[in-house]
Amino acid sequence: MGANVAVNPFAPPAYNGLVGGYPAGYVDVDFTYVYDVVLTAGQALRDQAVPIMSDADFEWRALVLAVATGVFSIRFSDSQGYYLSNGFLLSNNFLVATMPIPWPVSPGILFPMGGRIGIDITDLSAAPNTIELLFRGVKRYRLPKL
Amino acid sequence: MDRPFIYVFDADALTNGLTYNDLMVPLHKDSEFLLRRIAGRPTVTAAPAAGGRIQVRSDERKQLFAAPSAITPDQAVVPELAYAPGSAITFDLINVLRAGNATTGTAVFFSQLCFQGVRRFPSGGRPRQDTAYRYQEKPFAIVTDLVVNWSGRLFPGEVVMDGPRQFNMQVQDYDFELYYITMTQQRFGGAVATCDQSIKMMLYDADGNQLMSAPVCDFFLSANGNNYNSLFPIPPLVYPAGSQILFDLMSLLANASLPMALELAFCGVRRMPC
Repeated sequence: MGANVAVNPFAPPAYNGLVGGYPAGYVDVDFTYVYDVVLTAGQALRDQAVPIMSDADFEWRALVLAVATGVFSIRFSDSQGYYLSNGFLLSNNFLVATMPIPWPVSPGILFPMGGRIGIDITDLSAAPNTIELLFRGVKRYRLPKL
Repeated sequence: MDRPFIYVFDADALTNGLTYNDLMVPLHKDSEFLLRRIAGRPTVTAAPAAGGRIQVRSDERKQLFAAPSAITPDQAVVPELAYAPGSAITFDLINVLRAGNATTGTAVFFSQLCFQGVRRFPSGGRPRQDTAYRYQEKPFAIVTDLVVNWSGRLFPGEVVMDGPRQFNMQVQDYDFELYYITMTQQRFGGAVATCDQSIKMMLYDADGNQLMSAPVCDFFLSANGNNYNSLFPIPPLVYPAGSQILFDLMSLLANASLPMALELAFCGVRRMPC
């Protein structure tokens, strides 16, 4: 007999079903934080924040560039002000050709409930730039103690 | 027992330019649904730069996105998200724009959201996955060449939707495990190409159970499809020797594109006795 496999080896792992590898006493739920901004030509914004909701911690696992009408550069920091790069990243880093693909953040970065994702961002397109970034990851809910 | 399943939402009846809150896909009462993939946002909303957005909720009405967002055409759900039996997938669509093939009358829409995952039944085990004899697996494809000679809307006029046609492929000799489907087309006057925006399919398992809530667009199913990272069924399905792969096809074509040659390849492994 062949192995009674329950997975389709041709499919992406997520389509076969991934359960959360979360610590005991918690449960993970897929979640996305959204950052929308419209920059004027050449505008630089510093110390922007995506606030983390107060119902659960958030583990950031990937970034998706959902919308950008022009090139920009960006730098991220965590809730303690730790910068994730020594300089600004061009938005082209989040594309394959012109297609947005999830830019992996590994290992995932945990933001505590009530914390913030810090952002510095600068337009490089010399024109109005409508941008939407998706912070893909999971909300980590604490289970009630029985 | 897990059964591969796709719940779909057809946006045909919506109006372009409007925003809809609390749209709903009701789920079956006999099984839990594990959501693993959300696909098709570009076919139901305007482009992201034009304000097309979506918000999806869990069965407890918790939002999956902090705000309506322009998710990628194909979005994996990690970890998989469980919907209780009898619950619903609810979602909002901002700035609807239905995709469709133009006709002499009303467009044939392929404006669809695909919620792919598995229905988990409480009985345990897997459906008809076991083979009674010793076997080794050999790659095999069951190929069928069809002609789609009917339009999506009845001609002349092309206003009233036409119904599906049913087809089947016999599984001969040995048990067959289906891993994926590829689709290739040649429209009238066109080149041979990946089948895209041309048909909807409803697939059945070996027991005749539907594997989709409604016929699903080709680009959500075909492993060689354009723009999507599609694959179905997951987990794979076993069709025992002597059974049939049953499927319905709906045309999405305008009359001017007919006839269309269509090749479907059901790819997987045969369980050869050893």
